[in-house]
Amino acid sequence: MQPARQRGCKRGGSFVVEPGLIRAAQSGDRDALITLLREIETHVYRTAYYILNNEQDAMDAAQEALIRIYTKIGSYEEKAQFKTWIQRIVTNICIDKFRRSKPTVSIDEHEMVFREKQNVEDEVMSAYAVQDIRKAIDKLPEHHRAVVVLRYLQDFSYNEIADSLDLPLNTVKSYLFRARQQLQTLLHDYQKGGVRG
Amino acid sequence: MTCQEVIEYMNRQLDGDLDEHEYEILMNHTRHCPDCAAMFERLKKLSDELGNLPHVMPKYSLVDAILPQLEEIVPFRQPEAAAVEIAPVAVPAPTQQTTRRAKERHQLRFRAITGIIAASVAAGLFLVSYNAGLFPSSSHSFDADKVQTAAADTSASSAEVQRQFKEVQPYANNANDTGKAHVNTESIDPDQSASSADSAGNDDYHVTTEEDLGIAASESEAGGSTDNQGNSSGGSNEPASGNKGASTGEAPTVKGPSQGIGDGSEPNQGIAGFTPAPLEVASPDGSYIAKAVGYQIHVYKNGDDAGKAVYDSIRRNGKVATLAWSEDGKQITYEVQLESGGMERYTIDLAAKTESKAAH
Repeated sequence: MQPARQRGCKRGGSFVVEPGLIRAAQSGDRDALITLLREIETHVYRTAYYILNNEQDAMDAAQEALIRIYTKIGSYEEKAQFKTWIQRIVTNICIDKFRRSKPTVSIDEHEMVFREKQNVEDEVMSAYAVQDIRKAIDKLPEHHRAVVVLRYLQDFSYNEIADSLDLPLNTVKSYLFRARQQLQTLLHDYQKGGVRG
Repeated sequence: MTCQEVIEYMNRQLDGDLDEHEYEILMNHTRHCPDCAAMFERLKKLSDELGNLPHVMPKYSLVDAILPQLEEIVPFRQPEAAAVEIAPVAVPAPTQQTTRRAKERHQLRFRAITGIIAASVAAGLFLVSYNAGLFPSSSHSFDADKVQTAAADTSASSAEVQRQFKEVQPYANNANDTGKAHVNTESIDPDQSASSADSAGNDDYHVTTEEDLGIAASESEAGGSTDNQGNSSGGSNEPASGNKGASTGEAPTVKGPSQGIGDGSEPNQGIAGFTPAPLEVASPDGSYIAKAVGYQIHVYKNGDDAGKAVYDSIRRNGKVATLAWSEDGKQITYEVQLESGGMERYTIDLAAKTESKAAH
């Protein structure tokens, strides 16, 4: 299988925590552990924000994730990437919260594709409002949403997403592709001023 | 190539996952298929929009906000050697501890050898000072315990250690693949021959009993770590008697390593895997002990009728990772490490003997 090539990291979503800092934190250096948490807090928050689509929930989830990272730092193994390890923690917390607050939405892929083909029209070039995108992301089922967030907000590769969410590589691709299909259909509909039959 | 297959290529192109040949196939198709061309444009636009979503930041520093909470939390360290050793008895053996275990085995073998040397010396002395064959076996081993008790600094505890080693014996014989199990068997070997020698000649009997004594003595001389091992394996193998060590003040030293209380400089040995920690936490007023064994929590009475089981939690789908009492001592909150990597938190209400999934 061809490895996923990373696009240029133009948004600075990817980041690397210095291995020395992680080891110091693991060996019981509390200051190192706090420094490490400071380095990752924005990334943790950003994932939570776009999965939960709510600032307050995101603050709560991110804090919970940071506390969990603080308590579990001893169980991190270097064979995994640190960034996927922390994203796994935060996405688990978010998906857990998400499940408690929202019913699951299922995607009917075929219907979507069919509709899409009828609706290919001229407004392709106009920009979607950020608000519309967030609204559309909010309609995705939990794992599709998490895949999109890790792909675009954390600049993760297919493999990194698979590691973070503990999903097979093919499932990650299928979720990502389907999520894009659904998103562009939804956005297209928003631009039309409502869902069409 | 169907349009549906081309859409997959479009997606992979957006992720930079197409090689040149595949890219050509995609472009050839879109040149001749207006629908797909339009779709590709829309997907590209969507992808750009997603890539340009605002870089949100938290309103205030999350770490600052949780600092007071962090002060009160002890980072969870993986169980230490002593905790790992009980695994064969309580739960299936962990798989990732081989190097550490090999090291332990080495250390314990060294200890066993020292024990045998000490035993030989003691046996020699004993043969000189005692007349062989006059003592019935029961009173004899009682003497041995007494001598050892007098010799050991830790007084009662070392005798208990030795007794616990005897209790461990059946498990040790059953266990197959851990260093600890082997060493247990080794250490106890002289003991076994002592009992089997009951029916044999008296001279033999005395010698082996003294080996027993010698090993016990060297165990107690070997210091804290040895005592810890004896106690923790013995203690963990008899959940029914629960917190018997606590009343003698031994429990804190036994459990200390696995919880890593407050000792920031303690080396982290726990990187490998999630192995069960014999978490054991007393309620705030000290009247109960909650103990996590594998997938379950057991609550025991402390004090006068120590060891009396009060509550056994529901068996969860993962190992108990953390365990804490509420301040009023009426509730226990624990976290379960799921195999999927997730965590679940539950709260036990002791008065009602119920438990429920707790909010995060």
